[in-house]
Amino acid sequence: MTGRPRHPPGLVAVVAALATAAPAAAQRPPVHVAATAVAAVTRMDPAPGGDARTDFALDLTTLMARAALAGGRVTLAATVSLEGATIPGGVLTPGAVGEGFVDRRHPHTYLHEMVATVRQPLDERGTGELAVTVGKGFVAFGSDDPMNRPVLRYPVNHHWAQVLERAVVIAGARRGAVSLEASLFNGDEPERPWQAPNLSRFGDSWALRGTVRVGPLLELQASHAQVVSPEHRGGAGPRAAKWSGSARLDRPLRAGRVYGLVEWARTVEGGFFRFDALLLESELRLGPHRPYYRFERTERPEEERTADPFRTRRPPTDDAILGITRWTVHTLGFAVRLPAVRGLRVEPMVEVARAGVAAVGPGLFRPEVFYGSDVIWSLTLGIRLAAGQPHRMGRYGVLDADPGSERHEGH
Amino acid sequence: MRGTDTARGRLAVVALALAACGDGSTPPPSPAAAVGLTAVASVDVPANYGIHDAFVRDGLAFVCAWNTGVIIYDVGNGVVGGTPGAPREVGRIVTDPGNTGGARAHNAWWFHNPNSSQRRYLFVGQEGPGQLGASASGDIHVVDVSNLAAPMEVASYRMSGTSLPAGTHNFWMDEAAEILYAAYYNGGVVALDVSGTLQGDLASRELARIRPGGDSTYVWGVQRHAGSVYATDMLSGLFQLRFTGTSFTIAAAGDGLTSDRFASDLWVHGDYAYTGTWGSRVSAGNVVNVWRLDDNGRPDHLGELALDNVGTVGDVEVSADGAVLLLATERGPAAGLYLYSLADPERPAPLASVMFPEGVHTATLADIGGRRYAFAAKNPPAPALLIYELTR
Repeated sequence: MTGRPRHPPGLVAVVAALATAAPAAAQRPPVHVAATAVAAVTRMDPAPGGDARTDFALDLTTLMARAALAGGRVTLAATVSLEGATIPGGVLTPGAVGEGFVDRRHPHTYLHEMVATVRQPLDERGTGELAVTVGKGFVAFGSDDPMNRPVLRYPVNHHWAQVLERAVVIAGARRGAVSLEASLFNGDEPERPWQAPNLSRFGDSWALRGTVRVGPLLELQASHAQVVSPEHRGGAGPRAAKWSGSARLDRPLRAGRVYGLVEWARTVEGGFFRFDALLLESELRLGPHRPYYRFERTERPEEERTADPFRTRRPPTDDAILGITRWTVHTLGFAVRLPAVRGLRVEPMVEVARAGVAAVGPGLFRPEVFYGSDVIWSLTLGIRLAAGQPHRMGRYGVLDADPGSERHEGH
Repeated sequence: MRGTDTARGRLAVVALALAACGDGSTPPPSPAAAVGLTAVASVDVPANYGIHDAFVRDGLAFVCAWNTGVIIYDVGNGVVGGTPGAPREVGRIVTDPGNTGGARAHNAWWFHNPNSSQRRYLFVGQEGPGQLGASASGDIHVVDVSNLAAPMEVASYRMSGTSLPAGTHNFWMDEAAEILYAAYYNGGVVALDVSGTLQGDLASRELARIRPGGDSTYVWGVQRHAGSVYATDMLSGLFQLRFTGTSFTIAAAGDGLTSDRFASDLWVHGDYAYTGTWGSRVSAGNVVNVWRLDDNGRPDHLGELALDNVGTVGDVEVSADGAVLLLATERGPAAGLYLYSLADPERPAPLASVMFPEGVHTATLADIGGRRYAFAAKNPPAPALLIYELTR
């Protein structure tokens, strides 16, 4: 063991950031800063092993900054995640899978995103532009990161519908409402919060994303990616072929906003396993009230777990799985925003989810045996704290927008 | 970085001496008298995933190192001056070079043909993606090792005609009969004619196949012994098969033991068989089942040997003289390598263990220069071929 500090520094940093982010945000462009954290208690019933489990977590602890320079032609965006300190063992999330965690959403890497983008308009009217983005961050693939969306608990499809925390170069072109982005990146996912992308593998994976903005409210995207060995850092694992399509509506109302997302995603691993995901979510913001709902039906692999029933072996030793399960999850939530105090927004929230789990085809994994039930309930009570204006992560270059011009307040 | 190369193995020699051997007479000479495990070498292999299995014969170790392919080490043969304490690489080959998924070299058998005196062919099992209990993938690749420094793939076999894809796992060979028996997971057991020159697609060499568990077939290992072919089916247990030359029949079906645990590897020696257990079914795979073969070779269950804080017993081997039982274990704080005395083959007695939290995937025994050695495949993140001398 090292003497690496655990929770207290993460807590201290979050509190300090929340206290300072609001005044800084008030300084206005060219720099936006923001900080978020959610203190929440989650009960999962049953948890792996058959018993109920209740955990407290300081979740989504992030610090964000975005700066526009040279008249907006150069932008810098950075997001620091403190989850490695606040939720080193992940956070209870029925159905979550990825980076060696199961039924717990993994902590993100400390340097979640740090990219620089250069944009070049194609004409003076701004109807077209080119952009190049370099850094560590989101690959131009799929839909928005769940951290930018209404529901606190991550969807099961996170690793099917987003590709993140990679060393990436993105070239983008936009003509009118149509954008095309091409990404080169390293295929390996992080194995732990302080791990950097494996730069020796940069360029072994690629992605293409096309986006059409239909008016100011509706955004359609379709993506394809070829990701080499995402789960084995050395590159010994199978290739993942990924597809994603989504439609996102974000419409201001007189007294609030309505938001909706429909997405479909598919990942085929090694040409052998296929995992499909369908997700619909919506949010209605009326004054301080924010009810939301999400439905998803996502297939996930079941791997052999270690002695810790929430973990699978990383690195893996072969390409076999125990089976495939389909998670049908309804999540209903409600949050109320209290009056801000010196720019600090406080939002108590409650979220309940019902997950039905079924085995897809044959295999050794039987969810009703492993969990003791094929229905898993979870309840989360929490307080969301936020300050400043977060940017929309993963939308760089030709999809970037002044964060002040859109409403995406760092869910 | 994902770990250290420092030896985390904790040598926990349990020197029960040869009291377990029983009668108080002078112990037989080495290697049968071995009671402990003394580390003599550790050979790092690329973490690509690492080693799955090794086949050691005539002082050569054929190390199946997944996408790195098969690495051939001189561990006492003398061809390049290697010893068990200082292995030297002789050659290597990446089998199935056109596969974008990689070689996935899993296991091997170096064929010594007693009829032709040839030692030309190395059979390599490829373990591709699979859904355990249902489907699998991976072919048998035949490598010409006439020139050990420059091995060359010459033939392959892919099982076809299964409802779901099937892939190979462990082998056994009846060398005198020139027949390779291959466990094929959901494909059951297949017998291949490997006589003569092997080249190209070996599909026409298939002699017979059987799915001993019917719809509940997922065969891990196979061994020919005393006129029978024994197979462990993860789902359905231990089977005694008969092979007529053109077909298999079931002589004895596995009993109900596997309703509680998944079966894994097997080893049959003399009148006894030992079968491992894997993963988690109703109970964890932390036992070795001990069987006695009756006059017809039918296995009767005698009992089980339990290992605490272990979740899988993935490899089982009895020494050529029947003196010791070697186990490779994974999944649990006490995972590692275990050595038992078979002085009483019905009640294996612990001799020594070496623990590695990451687990030991497989292990095999070999007698080299009058001494006995264990070759073990340590799992990632710092995979290595570990070599132990079995010492008093």
